[in-house]
Amino acid sequence: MLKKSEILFNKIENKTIVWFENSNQYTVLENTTAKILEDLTKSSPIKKIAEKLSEEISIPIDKAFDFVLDIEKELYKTSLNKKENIVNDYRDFEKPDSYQFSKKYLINDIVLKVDFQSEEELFLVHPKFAHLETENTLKENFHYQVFMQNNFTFLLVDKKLIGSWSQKEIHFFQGKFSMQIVQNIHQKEEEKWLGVFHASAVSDDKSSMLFLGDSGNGKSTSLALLQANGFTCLADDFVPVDAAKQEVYSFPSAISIKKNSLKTLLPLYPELENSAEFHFKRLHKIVRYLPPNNTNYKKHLPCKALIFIKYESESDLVLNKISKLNAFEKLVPDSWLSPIKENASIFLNWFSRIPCYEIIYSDNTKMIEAVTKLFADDL
Amino acid sequence: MKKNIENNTEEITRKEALKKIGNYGKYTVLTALGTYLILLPQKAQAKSPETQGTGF
Repeated sequence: MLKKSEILFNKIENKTIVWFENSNQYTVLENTTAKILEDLTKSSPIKKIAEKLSEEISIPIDKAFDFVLDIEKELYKTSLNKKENIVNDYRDFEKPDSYQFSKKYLINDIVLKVDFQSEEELFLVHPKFAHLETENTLKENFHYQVFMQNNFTFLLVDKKLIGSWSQKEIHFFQGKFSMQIVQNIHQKEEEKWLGVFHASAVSDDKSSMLFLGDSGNGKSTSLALLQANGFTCLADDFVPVDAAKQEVYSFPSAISIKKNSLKTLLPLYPELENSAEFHFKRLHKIVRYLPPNNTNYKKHLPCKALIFIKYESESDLVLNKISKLNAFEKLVPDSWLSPIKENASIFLNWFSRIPCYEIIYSDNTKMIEAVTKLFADDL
Repeated sequence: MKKNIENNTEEITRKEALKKIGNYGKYTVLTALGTYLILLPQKAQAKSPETQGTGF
């Protein structure tokens, strides 16, 4: 028999966020509608639920009845059964006879050896980790192998197949590669993580804040500015948060600096002048990589706030607390969130406690001042 | 029963959809109660897609 799939409810502002275990889906419902769904999960008779609704919002009983039946059909019944996980990435594969590149990376006291079949695989990973490269004589703790077969990129860790990805899904290969590093350096398996956020994480060594926003809004640039002004970069682009304490963990990859940010950042980071430039033609992006200033990649700190940041030329500084629902709508589709019920519940509670802000800026100094004030609770 | 699914065409990368349950004619309160937003997290951990393709 299939195990019954669970539903979680969490009120945020004037709505209820409902999480469905079978699809790992978050749905924002009106409180009244969420209450009907909750009553259905408790097996309350439909007639009773409809009578209550009819009275509460003064509508005829037959209309209320129709509505409850619709909720039952659309939201409740579809959420009942757990979907079978279809494992799609098993493929027969043959490991290549040789690898053109072999690199070793030192992260704290952990050595990762990564073999790349060709330059193509090397470029998918190495530029972001080049600052961690170490001498080849150290004995590795983990051995990664990356190769291409039948147009799929394969990843093995300690000879175990982690997965394979098509060219279209290559950002998921990079995500899984990064997740393996997170698991190895922090010694926590995937089920111990609440989620991974597409953000920049900044800290004052007591707590951290996540900077979010669509690509091109200045997340990485503001991170680079902040790390030149006394803050520590915990992570760029890939921010893991653990389930046990909901802390932001370090991730050691370099910060991507786009060409149009160079003018701002060169005075602070003259080394960018001569660092290699990578052209991503299809995305019209030219980037250089700036190593993070974090010296302890084991560091993890509580999260003080989520900040949606946006660079807008000639804008005055705007710093506002924003609606949590609005923040939630932007946060979820951009994040990997653990599909495990306990973790989803912790995520909802964690999110409901964390304040959310927006910062719109054009003046870097004012942005840095605003972030300093937020860290110091001095608004 | 009528179900309208409006995919967010402005930001197609976002896996979200506004759904409406049923059609309740003049009972706009039910239309409001039956409107909800679906948010799907990424199906796996992902990096920013800056290395999509091999455009070096």
